[in-house]
Amino acid sequence: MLNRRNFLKLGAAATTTVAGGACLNVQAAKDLPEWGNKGFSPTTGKQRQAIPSACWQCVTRCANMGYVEDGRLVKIESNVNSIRTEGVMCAKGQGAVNHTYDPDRILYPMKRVGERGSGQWERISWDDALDMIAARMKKNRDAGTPEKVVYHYGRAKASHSKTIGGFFKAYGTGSIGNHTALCEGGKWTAQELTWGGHYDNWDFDNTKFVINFGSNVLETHTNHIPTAHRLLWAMAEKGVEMVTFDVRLSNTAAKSNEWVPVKPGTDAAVIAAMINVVMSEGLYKGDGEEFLKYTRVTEDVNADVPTKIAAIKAGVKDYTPKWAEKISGVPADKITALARRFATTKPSVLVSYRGLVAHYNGNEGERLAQLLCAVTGQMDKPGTRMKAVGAGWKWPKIPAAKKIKKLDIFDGFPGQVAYPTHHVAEMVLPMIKDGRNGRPDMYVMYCWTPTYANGNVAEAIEILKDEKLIPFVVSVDPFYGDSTMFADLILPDTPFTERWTAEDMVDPAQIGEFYIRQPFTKPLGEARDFSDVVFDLAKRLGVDMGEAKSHEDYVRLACENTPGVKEAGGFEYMKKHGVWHDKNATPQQQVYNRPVAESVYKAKGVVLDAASGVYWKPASEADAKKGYVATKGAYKKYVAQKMPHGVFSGFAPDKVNKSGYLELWSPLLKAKGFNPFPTWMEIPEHQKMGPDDLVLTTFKHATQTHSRTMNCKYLAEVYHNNPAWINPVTAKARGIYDGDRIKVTSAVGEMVTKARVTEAIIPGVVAISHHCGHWAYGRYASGRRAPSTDEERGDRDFKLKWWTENGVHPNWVIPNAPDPINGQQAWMDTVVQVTRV
Amino acid sequence: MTDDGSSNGLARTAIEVSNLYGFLAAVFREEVSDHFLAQLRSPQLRETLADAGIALDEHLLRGAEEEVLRDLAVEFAALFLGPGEHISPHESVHLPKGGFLWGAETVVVRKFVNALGFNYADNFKGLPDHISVELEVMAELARREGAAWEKGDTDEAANSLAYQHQFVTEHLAKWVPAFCAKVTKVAGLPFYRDMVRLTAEFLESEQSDIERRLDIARVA
Repeated sequence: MLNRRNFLKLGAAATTTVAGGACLNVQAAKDLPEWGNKGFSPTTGKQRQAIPSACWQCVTRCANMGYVEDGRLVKIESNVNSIRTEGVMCAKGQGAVNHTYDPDRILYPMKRVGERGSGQWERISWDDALDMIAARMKKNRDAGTPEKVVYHYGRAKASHSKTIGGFFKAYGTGSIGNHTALCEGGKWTAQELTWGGHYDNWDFDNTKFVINFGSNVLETHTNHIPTAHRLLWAMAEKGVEMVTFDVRLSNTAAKSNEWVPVKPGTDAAVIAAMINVVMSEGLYKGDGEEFLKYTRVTEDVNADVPTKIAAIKAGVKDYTPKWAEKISGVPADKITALARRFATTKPSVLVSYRGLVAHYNGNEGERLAQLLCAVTGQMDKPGTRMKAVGAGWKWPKIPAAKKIKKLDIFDGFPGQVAYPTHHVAEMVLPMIKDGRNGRPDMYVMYCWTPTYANGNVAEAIEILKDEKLIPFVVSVDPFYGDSTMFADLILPDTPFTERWTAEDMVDPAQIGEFYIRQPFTKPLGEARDFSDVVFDLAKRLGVDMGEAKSHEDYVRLACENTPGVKEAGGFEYMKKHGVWHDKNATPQQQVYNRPVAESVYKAKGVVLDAASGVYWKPASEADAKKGYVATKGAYKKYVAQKMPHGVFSGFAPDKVNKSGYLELWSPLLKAKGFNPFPTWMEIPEHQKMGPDDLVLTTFKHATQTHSRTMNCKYLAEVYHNNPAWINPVTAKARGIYDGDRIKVTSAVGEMVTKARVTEAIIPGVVAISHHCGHWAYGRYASGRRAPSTDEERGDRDFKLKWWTENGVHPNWVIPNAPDPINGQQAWMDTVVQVTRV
Repeated sequence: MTDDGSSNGLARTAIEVSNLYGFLAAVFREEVSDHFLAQLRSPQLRETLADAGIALDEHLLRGAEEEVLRDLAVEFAALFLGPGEHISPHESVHLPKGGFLWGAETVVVRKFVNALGFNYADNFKGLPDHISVELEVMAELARREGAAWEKGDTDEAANSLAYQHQFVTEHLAKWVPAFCAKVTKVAGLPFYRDMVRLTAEFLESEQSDIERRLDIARVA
């Protein structure tokens, strides 16, 4: 190999030889165009207009780039300048190009004319539609019952959440529902109970080993591409190994160095046993001991580290690997080896998601995961699981009404859930049916499909259809669908490709990326972004929306007011580039061990709560007397945490009154009758299983989101059918062969589907994916055309649709079953019987 | 690494890289001219070539000029022009799914060149994906990178480097090593064997150095 320095000497000497190239005229270009995100028409060669914006297919919300040719959106790619995605985009994001020209889009406000759900509609004007809504809102406000106006969203983030939610709060209703418990609420609450923030980031850029409990991180994580591409990079380029626990050989498990099959709902037992190994073999020494200084594992907040170690040893002494093997099916030797590997490979990252938390015992599973990270010191530092960092926009204020009233229907039945910090979405319709805490007069669904997204579909339909239970249903939806079909009034929303938003999702670089969504094209027909519509409604109702005049204006103000973005050029800069981050920022880590100055924790009004060791600023003498843990909303007044070795920022609370320790002895859980120390909990239904019973689990596929992408034709062509995965041993015992029609029966219903007999799933389980089995959503998703849509709307591809099966929807047989601590829907626990039809 | 990572050092590297690309473009563009031969024989270039491990042979250095030029021209035709069996210096011929002139990649290269704002020279009669075109693209991008470093404009340096990275990765690296290997096998005179060795090894070294310079530019 030649020496590079010598090449370059040649470069220095060769100047006279090479002056002026003969092939090219390079002087024609004064400046190079900006690199990246250029699109050209393959037929005309014409350059397309490239518009930086942001995806909204899934909650990850990656920065993207839309290419527009002759006014038509033709392609979506990633934005190469995003530090979150680093220019990578998934199939779902690219398939979003189908939303804009979806032949089943609703383009005009539609009013129901037949019976609810009968599919008969008439077009009305926006004025008439908004008058109808405003009249109902006025009526309820005049009657002193604004809480009967219920706004229930499936996804409203960042500036959309601020404007739409802000409007309803400004009007006076706090009856606002979400869908988080159906997704990841359990994980969030467990993290809030332990380290305060609800979201964790896995630092794949710096890790040396990944242990994964039930996250399909390479296919469908809630921060999918920003994390998945970093993980793949770490595995491919640096040889980082990953071990994945899952009941199913997901694509993530398949790409892992090892797939460890585990029985559903028993990952927590494996983690408990790993902690047992760490403690019994002294693997906590060093980093673990240091981290335990900031961890609470006893009632006494002043306990020293040896006392804490003794408490953890006592707490996990029964959780031996042999014990866990009996429960989980994972060999004891494997558990021991992985515990050693995780504890001694530094840094290692523990990944967990719905495979661990979407169970009855999910909260405890996640708390055990936090404990395993704590005792090995694999937490909140580079290469481990870290507290997440997002963009901190300075939002324009929308003043809330002086008095906000709320129906108590969002947190489950009384006593059902201990800490529903992200609500209990799956119980909202059952609460409405029950009626004890009141019912809506108007139920506004925004990006929300309760009949499809909740369990027990039959009951959800029955409730939504019943005009006595809910007199008036408004659906804000760009597309006709499985819940919108039960609306009384449909407002044609824009798909995200026609919207403005200021966005803020978590940045795995631990810096925080500011980015915006801007319309690729003008809204089709009379579609309008609901976050603009609320400004019109506000005018009709005399509601003050603050300084902004529209949602675009709100985004503009956010850009002009947010430090950093403002100096970079504000709204104009963001429209041109789409993304901005502080190039001088360093990745955020380890805030918990920052000492707090005496002047801060001894400032006027700050007191020490002796029981928790929390310095806080109580609002009144009475609150101070009541104490930090017992005072409602005290966490908002947190200042610092007193520890035996000083006063520190700690793991600041958010949503619950936890201490500033990583709190793994929880007085909050003790107060609700749960074990304060992380504990293995049996799943009651699984204890009662008969010999022929199976557990039904669910999963997602890389090219679809849960509910909102199946009518994207590109994506539907890839994945549109979902036969039930069943192990050959389990199948044989029931006389089932690959492709057979099978009946799946549970306590709430039954369904017929086809069997996919495969060793890629453990015996005793049947797995059915989400996404499929729509009954009203679009011609590609359900085979049904939305009523009142034109023929083909120019969609010539429909003639090419070659598939006739649209799969099944597992929620018909899955009951609504919240985790008793946090309300997370237990998607993975359903006991079923499976027979050949 | 060939510089200390400072703007001045990076500027010097980029300019030298540009010149070397230009030199190699000249090697493959056409037969060696009398002017080029004089340059090769000059002590300065001869010594730096020797430092780079390329000892020009006695015939080339001291043979009668007319004879040397004719021998090189015959070799050039046998290797790169034909008629008959030769090694076409065009990208589309060497790609696994290619094998013919004016393939899909030819169009891609032309679009890339046009997207940069460059034009093919009026008197250039070759095909758009000729190796010299591709080397000239790199020479110009590196020249602009060098100018940007000199101005302290790291964004512009990064922009130029991003194009270099893309063009090397998507084009030169995909076919030039194979092209060079084929030339090595059949070349009769040492000169072109030496030049393809220089080309292949320089490209390989440049691929990682572009990433280094790009990282510096993006962080700055």
